[in-house]
Formats: sequence, C-alpha cells, structure tokens
Amino acid sequence: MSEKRKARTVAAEDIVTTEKFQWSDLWKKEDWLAVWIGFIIIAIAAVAVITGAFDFSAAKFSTWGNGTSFFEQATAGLLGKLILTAVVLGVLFSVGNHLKGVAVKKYVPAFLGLFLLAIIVRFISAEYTLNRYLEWAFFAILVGLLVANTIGVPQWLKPAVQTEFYIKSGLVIMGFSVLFSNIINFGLYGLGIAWIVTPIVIIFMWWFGTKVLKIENKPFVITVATATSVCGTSAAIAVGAASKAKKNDLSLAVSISIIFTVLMMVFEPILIRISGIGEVMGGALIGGTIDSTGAVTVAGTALGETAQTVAVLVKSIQNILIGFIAFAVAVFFATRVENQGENGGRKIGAGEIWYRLPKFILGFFAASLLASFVFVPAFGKENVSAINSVLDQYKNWAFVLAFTSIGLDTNFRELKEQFQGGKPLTLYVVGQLFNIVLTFAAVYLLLSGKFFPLPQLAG
Amino acid sequence: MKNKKNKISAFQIMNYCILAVSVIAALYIMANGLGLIDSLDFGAGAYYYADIPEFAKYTDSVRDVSSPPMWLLITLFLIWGFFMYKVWGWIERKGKR
Repeated sequence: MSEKRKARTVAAEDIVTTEKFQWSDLWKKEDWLAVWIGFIIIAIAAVAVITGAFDFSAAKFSTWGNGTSFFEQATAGLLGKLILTAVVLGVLFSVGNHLKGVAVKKYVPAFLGLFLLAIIVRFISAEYTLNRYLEWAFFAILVGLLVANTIGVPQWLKPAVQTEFYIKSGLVIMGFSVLFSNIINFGLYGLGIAWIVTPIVIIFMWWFGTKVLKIENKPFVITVATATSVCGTSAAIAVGAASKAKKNDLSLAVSISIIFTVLMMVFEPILIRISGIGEVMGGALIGGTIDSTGAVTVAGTALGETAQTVAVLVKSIQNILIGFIAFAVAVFFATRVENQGENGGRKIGAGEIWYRLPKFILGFFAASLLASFVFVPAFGKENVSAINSVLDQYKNWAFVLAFTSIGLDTNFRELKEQFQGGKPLTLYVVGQLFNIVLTFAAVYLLLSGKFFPLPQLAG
Repeated sequence: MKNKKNKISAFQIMNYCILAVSVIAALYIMANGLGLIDSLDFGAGAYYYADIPEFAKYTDSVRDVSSPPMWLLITLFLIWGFFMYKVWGWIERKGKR
C-alpha cells in the first residue's frame, strides 16, 4: 500500500464513529488513545504533587517586556523544563501514533519541529502587552499561517500536524480542572444567571445561524454559539471537537471571540458604571457575558471588589457547563445532524449512539468527576489546585501544538471563503447582544432585590 | 452571472465595516494599554481559569450561605438541560419539514 493511501486509511479510521465497537479500539483509535494520554499525565501529576517526590511541572514562560528582559528567565531551569515537556509529550504522542499505525521514525523529528514552533508561539504570547490582551491560540494560528503561506510546510513536518489528537488529549487533561464544587458558591443565583441563560443563548444562536443566516456548516454554528455563551476559547475547543468541526471553523470562532473579548473587557465595565446598576448586578453581567475567565476577572476588578467576586463566581459556574454542553452536542450531532444525511433521519438506538459518540468526551467528563468527587474529598481542594497548576501547562502545550497545526494546515484563501461575506461575524454579534440582554434580564430578576432577596455572601 | 457573484451586498459591506472597526478598536486598546489592572498579571496566555495562579482565592473567598446542596443544583440543571435539549431537537426537526 502506498504511503499516501496508507495515510488516508489511517485518517479515515482513527476517529471512532459508526463502526461496531471492537476491543482493539481501546488501543488503536485516536479518541481512546487521547483518553489514555490524558489520564497518564493526570496520574503522574497527582503522584508528583501528593507525594512531593518529584517535580513534574511543564515549562512556562514568565511575562517579559515592560522593563523585564526575556533573557532574565532564560535559565538552565527553563531549559530543563522545556526538555521535560518535550520528552513527556513526545513519548506519549509517539506511542499513540505507533498504535494508530503512523511510522514513529517519521513522527519524532516532525514532533520536535512542531514543538520548536510551539516554543516560539509561547515566547511571543508571553510579551507583556500581548499576554494581557490576547490568548496564545491567536499567535499559534498566526505562526502556523505564516509558515504555511510563506515558506510552506516542509514534507518532514507534516506527520506531526495532527490537530484533533492534540486537542482531544488536552481536553481530557482540562476535564480535571472542571470542579463541581464551584457550583454551590453562588447557589441558585449562579444557577439562574449562568446556567438558565446559557442553553437559551446557544439554541437562539443555532436557530439564527442555521435558519436565518442559513449557514450550512452546523459544527461551525454550534462552535461559535458555545464560544459566545460559555467561555470563549476553551468552550470552542471542546464543542468544536465534539461536533467534529473543521480546523478553519475552530480558528475563525476563536479569532472572533478573542477580538471581541478585548473590546468587552474594556467597554463593559465603563457602560455598567454609566448605567449605575451597581457592583453586584454589574459583576454578574460581566461574569455571564465576557468570554474568557481572565478578562472577566480584570473587567470585574475594574468595577470594584464586590463586582470582581460576583463576576468570578458566575463565570466559574458557567465553566462547569463545558462538559455537559460538549456531551449534549456530541449526542445531538451523532443522533440528529450526522444521522440526517445517512439514514434519512431514522431513529437510532442507544448502541449506535455509543458507537458514534466521540469517546474523548467521556474521558473529559470522567476526569471532571474524578477531580470533583474523588480527589477533592480525599486530598482537599488545595492539593487538587496544585495538581491542576501542573496539569494546566501540559494542557496548554497540547493546545498550542493543536492550534499551530491548524495554522500550518490553513491557507489565507480558505479563511476568506470561511468568512462567507461576514455571516460568522453577524452570528457572533447578534448572539452576543442577545446574550447580554438575556443575562441582564436574569441579573435584574435575581439580583435587583425587587423580586428575590439579595444573596448572603460570607467568607 | 459572474457580475452577480462578484457583487458585494449591503450586508457584506456592513459586516466588513464592523470587522474593521472592531479590529482597529482592539489594536487601539492594546496600543494604549486600556482596561488593564496592574496587579492582575496572569502570565502568558491566561484565558482559562486554571491558568490563573491561585484562582481559588477568587472563588473560595466568599459563598452564598443560603445555597441549597450541590446535588439539588445539579438535578435542577439536568432537568432544565433535558428540556432545552428537547427544544433544540424540536427546532431542528421543524426546519426540516
């Protein structure tokens, strides 16, 4: 079998969809391999933190610029961490590729090349100003795009361009940070603002995108809808993978969300202050509408200490939704969207839903449940936070590899076509406005003190 | 036919204008350091809450003392989520008829 044909066969087989389950899927299919890779990293990080026997932290660049030279952090320690990160991820993904049937001999040098690009991305995104406004996903796509559209992607680098594999593995790791205990911090108020509003906004955007704007690319519509209503990039990554969105779908959804997050982070506190609705209601509005958690914290702080607290409480409850929504989207697409073309919309049974369901979503959920209901009670929230600070960097490196792969696999013409005369932008803007109006209605109903008693927040 | 394809609609012009204004505004904000809080430096690429060092100090510093137990909140949400899922399915089916 020729290399090209073999690669096509592997690509077609590596995602679990409609075929019957076989035990060998557990060690041959990409979805399951991502689950094992995620859990191996979680297990090593947990042992490292709980026993204190060794340091498993991955490399992280400190902020440079604004008077701090990058070279101040370029120490032997950082180099050691970079080598550890490359070795851990390189070994795990190489084994995964070997099991998938990809030649390790070709994958290893390609991975090292991609990791080098990932280092450049993280270096750029650690710059003082860029770091505070934009997410590294933006620079990862940009660096990949620049390489792909100028010098071109060399043949030897292509075996490492595996966006989905890195995303799925990163998502399983991320699952461990989604703690259910955060839900009780703001009680029924948080439930009303973060959880009642979010599904309504998603469904509205689905209706608006597919029926009004008539966007045929449904995975793209749901990816933009969840990025807008849940928590930006991380929700886009999870739901994009669950709905099997294309690489361009994800890069466009993330880019729009990042640009508007910068605007909302600055203008929303100003408008709230002008409106005079107060810190509690203003903070809740910020937490419910600004996409990324970092920007929510900054915008809430700009409004005041109480606003910061309420904003972060609402956002952290919204963050728990990622798993539920990714799961619901995976089931919805398996049963109602993908099913339409193939079977004329016939009802499919639980067994077939299982075959079609992206299995890494189960890994994501399992990691979240394990952290919330096993690790927190057994080892305490502080230890789980410490484990998550180790895991977080591995998740980030996996996502940087994924987004750099997206850039390497995209050309500017494709991006222009994806823009469809601006329909994605209309979808985001209209959806975000609807989100703001509906969140404000929920905030007014629950926190104005006119309909319900105000929350009793205590330390 | 070709002319029709190349014609830019008012909808497209409006979208490109919104995009241009948004990008220019974002660049202006970044160039002038607007909206930043000096004490909040989350480090490179902090967009997700686990990226923010010691994030627990923000979430665990206070809580609503009147909050019902976690299982009740999750049950309520699952009921709401199930209802919303049905609505979503209904909208999808309705469009196909």
